[in-house]
Amino acid sequence: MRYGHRFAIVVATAASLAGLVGWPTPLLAETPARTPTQVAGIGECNILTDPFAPELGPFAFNLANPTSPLPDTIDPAIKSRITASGLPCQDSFRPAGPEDSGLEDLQHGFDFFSWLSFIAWNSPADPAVTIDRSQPDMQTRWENMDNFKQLLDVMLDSQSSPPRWPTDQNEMEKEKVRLLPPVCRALYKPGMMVVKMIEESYNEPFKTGPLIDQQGHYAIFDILMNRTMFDYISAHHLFSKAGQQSAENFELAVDFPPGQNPVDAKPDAAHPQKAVVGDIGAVMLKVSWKILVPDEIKARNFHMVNALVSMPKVEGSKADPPCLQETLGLIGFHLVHKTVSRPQWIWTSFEHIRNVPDKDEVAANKFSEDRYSFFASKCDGRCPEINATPPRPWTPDPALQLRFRKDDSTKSQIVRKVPLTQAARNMNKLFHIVLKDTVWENYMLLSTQWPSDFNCTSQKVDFQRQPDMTCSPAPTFLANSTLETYSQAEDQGGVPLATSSCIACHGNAVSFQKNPDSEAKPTAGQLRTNQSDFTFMLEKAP
Amino acid sequence: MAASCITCDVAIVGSGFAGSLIANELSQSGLKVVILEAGRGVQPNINDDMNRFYNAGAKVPESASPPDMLGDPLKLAAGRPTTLMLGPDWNKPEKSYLVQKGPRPFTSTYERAAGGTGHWLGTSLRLVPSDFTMKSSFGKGASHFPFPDWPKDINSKTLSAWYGKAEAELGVSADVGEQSFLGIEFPSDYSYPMPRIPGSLLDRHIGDALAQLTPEKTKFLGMDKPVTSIKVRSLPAARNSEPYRNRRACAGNTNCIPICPIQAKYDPTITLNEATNHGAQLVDHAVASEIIIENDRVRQINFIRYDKETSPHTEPGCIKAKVFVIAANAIETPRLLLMSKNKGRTAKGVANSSGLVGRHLMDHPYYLAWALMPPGKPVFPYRGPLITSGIGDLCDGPFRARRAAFRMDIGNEGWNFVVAGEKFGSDPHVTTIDFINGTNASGLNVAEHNQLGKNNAALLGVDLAKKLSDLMTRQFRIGFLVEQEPDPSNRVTLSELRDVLGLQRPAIHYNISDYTRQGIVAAYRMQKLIFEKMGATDFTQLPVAPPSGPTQFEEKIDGKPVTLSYGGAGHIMGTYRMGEDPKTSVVNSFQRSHDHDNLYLVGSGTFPTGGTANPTLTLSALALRTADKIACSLRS
Amino acid sequence: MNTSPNHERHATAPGAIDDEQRGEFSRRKVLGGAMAATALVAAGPINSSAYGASADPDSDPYMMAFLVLSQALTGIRIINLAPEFAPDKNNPGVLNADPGTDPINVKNDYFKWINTSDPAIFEKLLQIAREHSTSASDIINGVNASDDTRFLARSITLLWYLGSWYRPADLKSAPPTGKLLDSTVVSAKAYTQGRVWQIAQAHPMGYSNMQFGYWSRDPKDPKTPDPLNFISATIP
Repeated sequence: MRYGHRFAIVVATAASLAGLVGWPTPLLAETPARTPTQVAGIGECNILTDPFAPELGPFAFNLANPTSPLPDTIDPAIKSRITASGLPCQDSFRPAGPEDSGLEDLQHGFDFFSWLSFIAWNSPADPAVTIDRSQPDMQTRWENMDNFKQLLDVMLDSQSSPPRWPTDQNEMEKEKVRLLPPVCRALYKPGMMVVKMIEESYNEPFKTGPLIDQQGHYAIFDILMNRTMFDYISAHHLFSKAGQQSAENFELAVDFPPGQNPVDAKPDAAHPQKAVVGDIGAVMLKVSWKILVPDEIKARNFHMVNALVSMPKVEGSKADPPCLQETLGLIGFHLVHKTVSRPQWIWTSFEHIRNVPDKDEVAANKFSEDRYSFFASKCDGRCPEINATPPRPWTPDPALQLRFRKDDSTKSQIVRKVPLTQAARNMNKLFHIVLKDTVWENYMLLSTQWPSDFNCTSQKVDFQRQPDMTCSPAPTFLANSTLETYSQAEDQGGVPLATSSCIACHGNAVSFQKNPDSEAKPTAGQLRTNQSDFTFMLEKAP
Repeated sequence: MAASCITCDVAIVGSGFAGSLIANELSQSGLKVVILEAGRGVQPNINDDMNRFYNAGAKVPESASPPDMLGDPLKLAAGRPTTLMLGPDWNKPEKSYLVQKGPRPFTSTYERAAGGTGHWLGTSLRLVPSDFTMKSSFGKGASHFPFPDWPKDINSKTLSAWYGKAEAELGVSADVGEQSFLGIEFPSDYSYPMPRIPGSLLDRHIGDALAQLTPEKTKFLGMDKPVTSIKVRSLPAARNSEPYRNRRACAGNTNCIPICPIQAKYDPTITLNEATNHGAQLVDHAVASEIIIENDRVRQINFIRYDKETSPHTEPGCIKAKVFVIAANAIETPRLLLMSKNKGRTAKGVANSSGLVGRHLMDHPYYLAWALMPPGKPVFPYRGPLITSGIGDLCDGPFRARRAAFRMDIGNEGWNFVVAGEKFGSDPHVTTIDFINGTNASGLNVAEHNQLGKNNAALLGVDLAKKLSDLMTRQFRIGFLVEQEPDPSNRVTLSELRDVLGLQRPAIHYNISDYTRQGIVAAYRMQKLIFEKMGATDFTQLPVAPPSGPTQFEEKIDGKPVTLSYGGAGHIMGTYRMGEDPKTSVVNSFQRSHDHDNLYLVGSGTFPTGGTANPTLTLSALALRTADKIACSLRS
Repeated sequence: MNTSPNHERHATAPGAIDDEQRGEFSRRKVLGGAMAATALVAAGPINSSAYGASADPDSDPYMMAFLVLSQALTGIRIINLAPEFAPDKNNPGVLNADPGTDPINVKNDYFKWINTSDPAIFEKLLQIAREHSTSASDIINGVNASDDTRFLARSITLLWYLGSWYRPADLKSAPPTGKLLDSTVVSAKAYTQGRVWQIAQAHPMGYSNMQFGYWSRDPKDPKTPDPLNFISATIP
């Protein structure tokens, strides 16, 4: 298979699997802010275990078309291997495995990569607790301010700019407090998550609509970046329009550092920012939250966070919108990781199992869950239209405090149009056994979208990436029911460019950079100067 | 009936550009606004439209939107003219929604749906100063000069601030320096919302070719000074050149018409959604049927609600408001006015004391030419927006006393728009089929041009791929939008034929005058000049089959008879024009009816002259000015 | 800009067979969560002849024969028709290669479509490809030897180039002045996978994966011959 020719095959043996050594701790205080050329820290990520290693037992089986039923229990040795495997630095799979086709083998590998990443990031921030003994309300690693920063704490107005990301815990806390909305100050306590809402926090991408839960509340969205992304943005002054448009960035082709396995070789002259040891590389998150009601808090089925949510400013109003104290439940999790082998990034999407049913369940009127957050299975023939956007106005009314309407009558009725594949379901089943009796067994992987045309990345010119210049994403379409609710593939199948596809859509992302010469004296095949490396974050710069 | 009328402050008929902009402005100032839309409402996403488009054989402007384009116009509740109705059956009322009385076809179309004619290209040009003052500039002393002046308070200078507001709302990309020509002025601190869209390779080639000209060659233009070079300027467009208001920047999908897959091109559903977000209410599938007048004021508008396009179930409705705005485009608006007879009290129609409602119908007849670059000089079409640049510098000059002005578009889509077959497919289908099947619909597959030594060559394999690569990369086309003067016999009236809702269908009487034909002749000369300077071989052909006869005419050019033809630009103007005198105009400069104080008629139907610029930006500027006026009048 | 006077118009409806072909076909799921074509039993076009379809797109040798045929007819290298195509090291010879499965997999759609339209003549074409799998020109001569193969070959070429199906019978009866023919867009996916656009160094209208500003630059360095390596007479 041609995949084999194109990338470094790194197959980990059981012996080389390392547990996670430890996350940066406050003991690293006083080290200067990292620049992209510095080392991220040995042990922050690991060489990915071979998904088809026989030691992994059922994880290495054919999951798309299993030859025998999957087990209900998993050997404890395999379990602890999984929970301790840590964050993969990069992907590296062979297209030769137990599945029926090379493409399915790779999908299996990427889905395994996604799950391990999910476990790594959602493990408790407290290194003493492993994920299999975590509680629903424990702060996760990604929620820790040492690991991820929210987009709105980077794209600051000119008075608060530039953003800072110290390495010292106290300094980090100070920066967080500095950026608190004034109305939240009185309510804030250290450790609380603070979600500052803008339009994109309640209105899905490109204004496709808000999502309203069964209690009549808005779902809330947030975007975060890791240090590698932050360092790059900071170093190149991309956190403001003026910075993006300055002369130093005329020639800059935005290229976030990729994750890669520890390599013993010398640094790659062509990519000086590649670390010589394992580097996580750029990671970005998009998460969706539900406002939990007392019953849900008690039931402890969602990963929960004690949060302050400051509502979006109302156009034309001078009043400060309220800051609300809410318990947020995690309902959707997009994890996007750039690796040296996938410069179009790897796009992982998870959801809570009780968000929505899929269309087969609806057609058969047989639901796997007894209730859903965004679907009413019993509505006495007066069910709202499926996947319809709510009626306008969509802007949250401060007086209603994140309720969509006064009377809670509007609720989204959402159905997943593309059911999970059998392979994904089976992998979820296995991981749920590992995560049994933790809140994380309530989260499932939808799929992983990854660029399948490996020849794509070595080409220099736009047109040389054939036949698909976004490098043939696999699967072609992918939508999370809470984050791309209204752009799902309809019954006639996915429509190119219109139906949600992570890579196809993010491939359109550009920044505000200009190159005054590029139009006057264009070079044939020149790299564009305002692409923003598959992230829309840069266009949020003020 | 009165008990069940919708009541509001402002009722707007039509949710296109003008209707949506006015709805948005007024709902933001706290007024209760209700919009009646004849067609479907706003869709939650464009997936269905994109799917329809991708699967369409004929990728005409309507190929993205329902209803069935080939449907019987007699059976649709909110029918409208479509491109496919303009064939040999153009004047057969059972095939064409517009009852075309001739003598020539009116070849422009529109949409009836939320967002109006959202399949537009995106060009957002301002009119040049002379366009507003045709009579005083070119017709002084000529009593039969057909062009009037616009009202005194509407000219290039007074409209500038409103143009700026419209450019902000639509999101126009352009460069002030480049757009300051032919007298167009901008405030010193003004800049367009976004930088201009970069030009294409073809734009640059044409610009280079026209950089050095001899005055003898350009004398035919009749400009005020000898022309020794002609500038190609990028077209201001409502197309994002950078992220703007949560919309993506253009990715060069080369599909502005009919639909931008990523909504980098503005369409009125964007503003319409803002309006409904601010409290405006949209009533879709509601066709206004009569404007009811009482004591010289509009008391209410009656409408018919229907559930589906064909064999609909219908229900009557009505709406009462303080102010009424008709924004239904320059054919449907006069139709509604003329239909509103008020049991004989307004036998000539509403707002029609002048008798001019429906008259002075204008379009921009569109003249197309295409060519092939010489070998080794590719221009790489099918890349970028459909049109990125054009020539506007020739649209004003002393010649306007004698012949129509033109503006030139440079097409980035090869021969897609010009070389086509019968019902499906246009280039690249035509060129491709020619060389696979050994036919010659494109004109390329003859020994003289195909460099294969024989006619009707049929190729396969590498020979085919190389030949197509060579030929297609050298194809290009240009188009000329030619001015029409307001002619009272070009008009919209009511036909006896009714649509499925029982409403009289619009009848069109249309011709192009010698003034306009001479403009097309000048465009023809321009075509020749450009192709000569580029070394390109002219492939312009008349449509093969006779049905297009009525769009053709013969002119003697340099002693030889030349047959030319025109198409439509989709720019429907003039049918309820503005003016200071109620005897010679329908509305005043605020687009308020002279006859009824609480009735406004908006859109390009109010244009007294058409110029050569696309009407969209100007009608948007006027709409914002009207919205401001309405808000003021309701506050006091 | 709205209407081109040069587009002929006829308000006749598409042919019945086309409707059926397309109607059935469009119900086939485009790859969403589903991965390999193997997993899906596609509802293909209605079989328009009595010949039972035996050619199997999921059989590697059949698919390779189709890809060899397709390269010969289109001039486009197999790797650009089937991006996951890979020779088998243990079993040289292009007919023994692995056609691969890619997320888009338009080759499978086309195979099924052609095989349903004209299975007998399709089989003839595949046989010609098998017999001359190392020489594109021999394949071309072979298909041009008789009318039935000649015109189906043209339909297949047009299918790869445009994503639309032109029936062989229509191609055969087309007059030399080229009155344009009836055609059917096979699917939205097929339209966006048309190869003629890449040959023109562009992209299908309405489907660009490129970025802002690309149109102001030359698609390639003019000094580099065929940097795409898209076209080749040497199979594969």
